[in-house]
Amino acid sequence: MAEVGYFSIILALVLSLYGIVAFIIGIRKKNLVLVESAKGATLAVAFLSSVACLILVYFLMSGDFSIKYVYDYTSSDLSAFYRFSAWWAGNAGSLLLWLFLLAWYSVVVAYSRKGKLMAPYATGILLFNSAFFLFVLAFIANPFERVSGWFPGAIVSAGAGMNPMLQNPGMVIHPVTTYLGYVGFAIPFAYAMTALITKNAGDDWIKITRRWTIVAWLFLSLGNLFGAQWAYMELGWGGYWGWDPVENASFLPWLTGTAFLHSVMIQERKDMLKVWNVTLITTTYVLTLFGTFLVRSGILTSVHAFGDNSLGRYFLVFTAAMLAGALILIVERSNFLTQGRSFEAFLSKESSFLMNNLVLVGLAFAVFLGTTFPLISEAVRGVKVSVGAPFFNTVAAPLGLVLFLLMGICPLIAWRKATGKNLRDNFMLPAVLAVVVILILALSGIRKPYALLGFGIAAFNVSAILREVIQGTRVRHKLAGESYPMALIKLLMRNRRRHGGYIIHLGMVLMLISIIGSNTYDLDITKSLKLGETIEIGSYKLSYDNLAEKDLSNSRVAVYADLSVYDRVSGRVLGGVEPQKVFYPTTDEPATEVGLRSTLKEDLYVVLADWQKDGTATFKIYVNPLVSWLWIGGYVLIFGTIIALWPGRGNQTGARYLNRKSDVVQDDGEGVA
Amino acid sequence: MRKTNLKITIGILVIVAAIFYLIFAGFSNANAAYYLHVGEAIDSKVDPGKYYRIEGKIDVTKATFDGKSNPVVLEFEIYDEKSPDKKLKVIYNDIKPDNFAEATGAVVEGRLNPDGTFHADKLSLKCPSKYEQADEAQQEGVVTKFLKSLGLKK
Repeated sequence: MAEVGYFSIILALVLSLYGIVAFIIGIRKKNLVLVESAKGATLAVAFLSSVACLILVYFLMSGDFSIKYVYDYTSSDLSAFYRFSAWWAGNAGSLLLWLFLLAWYSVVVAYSRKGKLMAPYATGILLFNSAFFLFVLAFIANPFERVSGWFPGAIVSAGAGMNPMLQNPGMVIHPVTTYLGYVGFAIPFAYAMTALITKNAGDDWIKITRRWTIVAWLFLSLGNLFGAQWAYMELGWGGYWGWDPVENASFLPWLTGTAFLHSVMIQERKDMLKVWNVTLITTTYVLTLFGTFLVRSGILTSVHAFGDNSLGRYFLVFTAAMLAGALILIVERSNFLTQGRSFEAFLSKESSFLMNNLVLVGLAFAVFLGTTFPLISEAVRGVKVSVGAPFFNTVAAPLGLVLFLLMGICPLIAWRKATGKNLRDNFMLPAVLAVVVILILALSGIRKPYALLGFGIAAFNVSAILREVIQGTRVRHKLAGESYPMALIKLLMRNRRRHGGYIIHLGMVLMLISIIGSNTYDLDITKSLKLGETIEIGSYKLSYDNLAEKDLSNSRVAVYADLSVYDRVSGRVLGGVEPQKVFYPTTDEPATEVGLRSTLKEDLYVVLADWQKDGTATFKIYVNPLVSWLWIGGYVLIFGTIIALWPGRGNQTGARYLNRKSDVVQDDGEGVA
Repeated sequence: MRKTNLKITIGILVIVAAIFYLIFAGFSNANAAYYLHVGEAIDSKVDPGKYYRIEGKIDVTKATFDGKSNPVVLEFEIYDEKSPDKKLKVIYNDIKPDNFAEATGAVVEGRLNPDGTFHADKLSLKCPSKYEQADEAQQEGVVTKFLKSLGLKK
């Protein structure tokens, strides 16, 4: 069966190469039969990839340890849920997952009804990607490799087991969502290249890929969030983001992807920024590959441990080749990408979108620089110099604040040229509210400038959005006679793109609030306690009640401590936490299970670090304010994206702004339906 | 129109300049750490003022952890693989990271104390790769099983 799996990969590789050639010749000679055949090949590649995946999953679930991958990442006492997720626990399996997603996305593109003329080109480009992954799977990272020294008839009955840190639901979802994000951005890239190849200067490719982009963005956002949540729960250092190279690797394409998501709106409506958009999607796509290269090549030391140098080399070559190809295309075709309009005023939606892009790309550049600095300094000076969190925080904090300020301004500032009236109408109230919030916070003891500014900007954002929605509801109520709730719902549904966007922005604001709170006002203390002793931190008093051992499912043993949590001031019992160290049968080192008491206000986070025979134990205790809002912001993001993507009427580019021939300044649906 | 283009160009330049300024500011606060192996650190004169990232082998059995003092103290030595007598004593005021028991190598970030010991702000550990462990264990399994099946081993 393993041979069947491997053969599927080889066959898929052959078919993908055939598909590429058939597309090229079919397009050139306008041979529809060949193009159809190539589409069939794309479908076949997807089927074969699925077969390979199914076989691997079968081996994982049935525990066939003669397969090296199964041996390395599972053991007989692993639960079914984690046996399944072991599919992407290691290098080869996760590449197979990527291929699976890419192959089926390619099928959707191949057979899509929109943009039929572009589909063959785009599919060909995607097939080229699939071919690379198939090549790597076939010759460098074979998921079906047998355990060395195995011969037919030999039975290997035990596995090495899954790293305990991966046995966590967040680690199961994180790779899938991240890959859906990465693969998702390959589609707009493929269409952008198609537009260049076919000398199509219009925005067809943007219209076709709009949904792909938004979905990819959502998944990449979730991927980053789930990764952060995993780090928070499993790594036990009290934080959720450490500017680790691997975290940065998936953050970089998110930054440029967000920029792209916004700048295409400008091209759609104003026929501008064409070269910028094509470059931006290329950058995003290249960063997804580059990020994968960073993670798997072992070239930068970090928490992830995939390290495999030969694979890294192939990834680097492929990434460089795609980047070079795209850049050549862009430069060659750039004179076709003339723009329709130009910037008419400094204070306008167009220019604020441009500023937003600059800040996002600038931040991406800085993060990229900091992440690759050890490599650069080694190449240039022969000395490896690394930069840590302080560098990234110094750069990201101010840029982040500017970005959120722009996020509040952009949706409401007028197209083309904002008049004084427009500015006053839309921004006076939010600005005043922001200042009020800052004053209130400052008076209640918050003094740190970044925190004050950040909360003020958050207030600005929220009030700007609410003001707009409330006004729109009021107008509908007056004109259409609908009740307020009805008017609100109808308002939201009539323009789902815009309001979905607002909801997403609100989700981001929640995350901003969380980030400010948890980074500015977090507390921690490390102390050894004897049984019965108490310790105080923040608004809590904890008493160390008990230390014991217990058995867990799947042959695990936990050493745990019971701590009761009281309100420091009133002495009222709030609950308890149970930090653990869990011993797995397959590893020597125990894994940390954090004792967490999470409220909307803050997280009480307790780690059991060490213990002695007499029951004395060392604890590290954190109080992290507002962390819950990070995850809540994530849910709001999902909800907003669903609204933004909901099909049907109310989903067009702003109410009446489709007619580009007219030069009259149109009210693009602000407030009035 | 030209005035607008000028304003926008200036705006772009301001933002770009601000970004580069922040990057430079970032580098100066960064604790940009020079990366050295323990052997190199011992041989060359390590500057007590500068921030370093030093890598070496670690013998975890010889490490001591004092949880009662405030702050807690984890003390261990990192040594050069090729010349084990080149070693550096490290003091780390935090709890043992999770994978301490299995670690064979360590990367410490911090500064040199006046007394020659190294004060580590950050500690990351390297464990033997999963593949190394796996192969050893597995080979034993297969061979042992074969011999057992022949009745030659209990």
